[in-house]
Amino acid sequence: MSFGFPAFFWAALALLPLAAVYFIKIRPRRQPVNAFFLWQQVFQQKASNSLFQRMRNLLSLLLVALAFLAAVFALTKPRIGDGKAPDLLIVIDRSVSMNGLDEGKSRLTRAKDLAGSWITALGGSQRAAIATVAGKIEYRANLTNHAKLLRDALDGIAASDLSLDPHALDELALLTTKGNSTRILFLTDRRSAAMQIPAGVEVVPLGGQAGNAGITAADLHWDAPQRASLFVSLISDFPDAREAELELVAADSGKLAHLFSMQLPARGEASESIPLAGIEPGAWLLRLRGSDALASDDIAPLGLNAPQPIPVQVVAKNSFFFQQCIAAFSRADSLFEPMEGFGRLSLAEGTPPETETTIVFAPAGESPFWKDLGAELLPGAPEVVAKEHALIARIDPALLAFDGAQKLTAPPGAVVVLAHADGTPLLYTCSAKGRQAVVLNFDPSREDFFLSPWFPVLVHDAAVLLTGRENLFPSAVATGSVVDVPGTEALAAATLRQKDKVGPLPLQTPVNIDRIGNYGFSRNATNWQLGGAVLSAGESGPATAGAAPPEVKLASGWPLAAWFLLAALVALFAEELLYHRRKVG
Amino acid sequence: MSTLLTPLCFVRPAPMKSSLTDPAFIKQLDALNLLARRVLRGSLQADRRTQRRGTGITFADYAPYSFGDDYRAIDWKIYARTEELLIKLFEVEEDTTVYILFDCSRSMALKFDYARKLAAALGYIALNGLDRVVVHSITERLGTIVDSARGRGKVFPFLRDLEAAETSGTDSDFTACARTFQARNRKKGVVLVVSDFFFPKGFEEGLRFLQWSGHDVFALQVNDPADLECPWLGDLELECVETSTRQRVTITEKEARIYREAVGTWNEGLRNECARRGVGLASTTSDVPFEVVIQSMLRKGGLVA
Repeated sequence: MSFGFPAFFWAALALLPLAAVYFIKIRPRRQPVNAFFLWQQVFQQKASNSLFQRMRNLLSLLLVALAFLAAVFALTKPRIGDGKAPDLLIVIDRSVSMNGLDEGKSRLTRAKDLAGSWITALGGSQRAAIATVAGKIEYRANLTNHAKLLRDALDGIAASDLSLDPHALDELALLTTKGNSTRILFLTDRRSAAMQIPAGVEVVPLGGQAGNAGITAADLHWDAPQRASLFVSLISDFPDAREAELELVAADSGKLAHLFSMQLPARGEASESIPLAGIEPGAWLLRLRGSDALASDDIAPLGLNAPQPIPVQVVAKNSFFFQQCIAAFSRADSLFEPMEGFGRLSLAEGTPPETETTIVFAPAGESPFWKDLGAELLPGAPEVVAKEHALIARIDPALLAFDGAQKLTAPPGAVVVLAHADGTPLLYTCSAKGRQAVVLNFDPSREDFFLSPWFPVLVHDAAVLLTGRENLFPSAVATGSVVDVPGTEALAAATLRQKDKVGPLPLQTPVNIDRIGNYGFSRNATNWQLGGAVLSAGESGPATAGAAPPEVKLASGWPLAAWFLLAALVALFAEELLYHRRKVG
Repeated sequence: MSTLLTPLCFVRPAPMKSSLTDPAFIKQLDALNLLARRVLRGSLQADRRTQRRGTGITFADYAPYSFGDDYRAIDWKIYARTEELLIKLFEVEEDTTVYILFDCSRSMALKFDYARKLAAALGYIALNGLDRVVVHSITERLGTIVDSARGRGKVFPFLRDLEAAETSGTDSDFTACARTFQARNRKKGVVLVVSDFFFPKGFEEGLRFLQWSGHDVFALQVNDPADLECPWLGDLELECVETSTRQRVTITEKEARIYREAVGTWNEGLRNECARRGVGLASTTSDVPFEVVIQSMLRKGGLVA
């Protein structure tokens, strides 16, 4: 046994004055009596009790001394063991799998209970800190020996919808270096993608063997107008093969759109792609029917977005090739929608119209997108100024001759991607007067550029760059992902639907998808739907394979000091009973 | 800790000593004396009746003649009728000596003033009845408070001497005092014992000695109410007021009950002993007005049992 504050043993010296005070206290009142001989007769009859009468005072003093010594022991904070009391960092896994129920109790609750019992056992003589981890480590309580602060921090922990990041614990490696005595305890259900636990971090496994099946991947996308495909992948850690029943329902109305089943192997995975006819764009829920340990991964919100083409107008002398290009992309993935009048994007040659965005070839005339337009330059291989720019991600600039390029000066703030040998910009993006443009400083009609494969590629990439459609918007992403909402306008609305509740989200992009639910975003002319789901084989599948971590030995429950204090109270109570009897008979 | 602040010795303060020569008190004594005169209907001599038979003029009883009796006392008329020799007995008519044995032990401290008033009243009545009054103190040995007083003129000296008496002694012994008393006072008279009768060595022998000497003995027991009850509970250090002997005890309701029973038994023993010996007994507590006690005694027929 060791003691946190052995100096308190000096307090035992106070036993001497305590005993003196005790004897003064128990000194009986003196009562003169006239018939003393009668009293002697009375107590001669009770002589058999005299031993107890004599012993009672001694017993009473003994009880007082015991109570005092127990209190002194409590002050010294005794501890079983070698007395080493390193600081504790209790890291609790709050990933989505910690919502899993084992015998009616969630793993997170078990983790909090266990951590709570450790905090109780600290007894104020040892410091501890509380942290949680899912996507990253979050410190809930800094090192302190204040039990209430630690308990409050524990109470404030709730499971997240996030998966456990395999690298989330990497930063703890700094705390486990030599010379640092902090003991790190990681309470986890060991359900995550394979992660490297830093050396020195003690893993405390939680959770039982309750079986679980969950959705690990889901996608809903158009195959053709009015026809979509649903891809779903499942994982099971049930020891037996079983048939899983899934349903696809509308998120807002709950209307069932499709019901199907899949064969799930024992402790294995299965995936399937299902064609869906007559399905409408909107927010959907894919549900895995049945009960298992973790309910959160039995649902996968999905978004099926309607085609939202970019309205394009062509302003060129020779518009044929431009229109053919637009028609091709319109048919293929509904990227463009040709418009005769005012479009968001103009595909121009020479002087550009006043559209919001413009892809302009062979600049001519006056425009805010260039100045000092001068003589034609000699053709030649361009110099790449901005490597890895999206505009040249899929082309080889060396193959472009830039025939018909003219001397010009790009406006301030322009991003020059390719330039002539004399520094004249050949391909650049710029913005002026609230309008954006991609300027291609060459004549596309020369050298059969219209017929080259680079023409549609350049038009496509310039269009998606100007309209913010670089990335395909997914149907569903795993929680913890960050997504960009297509478009360049400001977000007009952002909502999250969870079951029947619809709540607003901050109007900012990119968006952190950290909760399970159907996300909806609106820009001026477009609406986008997205699902946030667990989609993690690590969270839904079996616990991490490998040898079980060594058992963590740590005191739990009430500290010895508390028991000593209780003993002191019991002794005082017993003495008080005796004292009371002495005073009132 | 509250115990530390409480007194460690609980002694009920003795009542304020009142003067026996106070006019108001004398007035009370006069009233009692008038009552006594009415009750006793006496004159200078023979104010009080006696059980002893003697040569007075008041016929008392007949007794069979025995050798040595006075011939003159034979009632010849009875002899003529019955042929039995009977002699007439007459009550003794003489000035009587009233002996007051006044308990001055320390156990009387709380009721001393009260007992003194009782003794003063009895002595006052006796002196006004022209009886001789002697007051002795009872402690561990017999003492004398009033040596001998007779007549109304001795009232104030008597009261002053009685007033000067104090409690004393360490181990009161009634038996020893009674033996000394009967040795000193051969002249028969009325003996009034004013005491609480809490004599550790007993009262039986003392009463026996007093009666053996031929005195008319009358016991006046004065108790303090606290003597009869036990108002204290808990741990106490009992201290004998006379010997200062101490004993640490724990008094519960049970012990208190046993004590009350013991006191009751003790007093019952006194009653039985007095009844057996023909000793008059009056018991009172110090919370009863003393004149009530005297009136009661007089109305019961004087000091004769």
